[in-house]
Amino acid sequence: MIFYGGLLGGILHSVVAHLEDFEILYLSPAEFSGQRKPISKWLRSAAIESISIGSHPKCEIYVKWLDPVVKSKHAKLSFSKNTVFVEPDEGEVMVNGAIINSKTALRDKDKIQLGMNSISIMQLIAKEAGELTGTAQKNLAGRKNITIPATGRPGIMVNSGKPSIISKIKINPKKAK
Amino acid sequence: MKPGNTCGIKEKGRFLKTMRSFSNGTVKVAFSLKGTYRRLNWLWFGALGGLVSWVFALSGKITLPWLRELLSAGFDTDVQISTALYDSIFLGAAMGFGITLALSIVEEMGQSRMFSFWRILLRCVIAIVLGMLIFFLQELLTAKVLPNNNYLGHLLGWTIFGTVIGLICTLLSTIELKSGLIGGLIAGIVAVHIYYPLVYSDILIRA
Repeated sequence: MIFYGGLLGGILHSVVAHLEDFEILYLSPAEFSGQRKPISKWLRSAAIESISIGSHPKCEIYVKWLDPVVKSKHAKLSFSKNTVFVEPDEGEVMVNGAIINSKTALRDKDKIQLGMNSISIMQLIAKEAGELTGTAQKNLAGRKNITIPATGRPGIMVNSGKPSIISKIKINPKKAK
Repeated sequence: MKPGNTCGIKEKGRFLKTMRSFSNGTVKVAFSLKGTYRRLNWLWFGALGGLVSWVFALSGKITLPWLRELLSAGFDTDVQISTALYDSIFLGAAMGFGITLALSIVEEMGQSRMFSFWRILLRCVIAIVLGMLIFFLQELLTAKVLPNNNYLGHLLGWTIFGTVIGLICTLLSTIELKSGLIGGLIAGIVAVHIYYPLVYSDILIRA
């Protein structure tokens, strides 16, 4: 029975993970970074209009860690025409380092930060990235790419050369660890 | 140890500290939700579920005389199968409960929502009912329809059980219905081909 249970669990998860199209990868805070959360079912579900991101326990993407910047219903993720969209709800949202004010299309590996001074950064993992619509392409056109330094903490450097506000904050590396 | 000898105490303390940090680290890594460990978590928890099922199947068998009589009156004709049917009902309940409990916990841990015991409980109740039904039907099939083919009866029963567990894991979870069904079916078929030779090796040797 132990063998059966172990095999059942292992194989079931392998198949399910293989068939998962959209996931959210936590990048920051460090304690949660690297965790992948499946969202395909909610995105495709007719019963759920949008996935809410926030500090409220009923949010689908529940911010479990302490982040004073994150609102109870901070942002929304939705899905239409094979594209995932992010939209600010009660809080500020940054996509790849740029603040967005309206519904914005996301591509594979796009980074979502829940506010300028937020430590909550996540990335969309889209295994089957679809063709983007005209509006989506337009939304994506003005984006700047961001890089997260290997040193940890949410120090974000916008590729234009100008560091963002967060990167200017000096953090004691010992405390950050 | 002499009262003045603090060196030994210090060394012992250091050793215990090292051991504690090592065990904490190992446990943390083994149950981490990151990377490959996330997949391994499902394996650990599945095995744990199997262990829970085994313990329940051994110790949780309740004596229900009315059920025994009912089964005996209904199914004991030329061959006495009521005892096997009675046992299979409890085995199904234990398997359904143990494995679903473990897999539901690991699924809840791995999703982005808040951990919910109610969702786990709901899945467990459904799994107990369906597990009882599947194992009862499997035993009945093996005894009445396929008396000379123990393997086929078990293959059908355990494969259906795996598929049903996959289906139950999709209820109120992040697993899509299609993925759960395919995963459960494949897992059921593979698992039975490893489980069956281990448990029924005497039958295979005789064959």
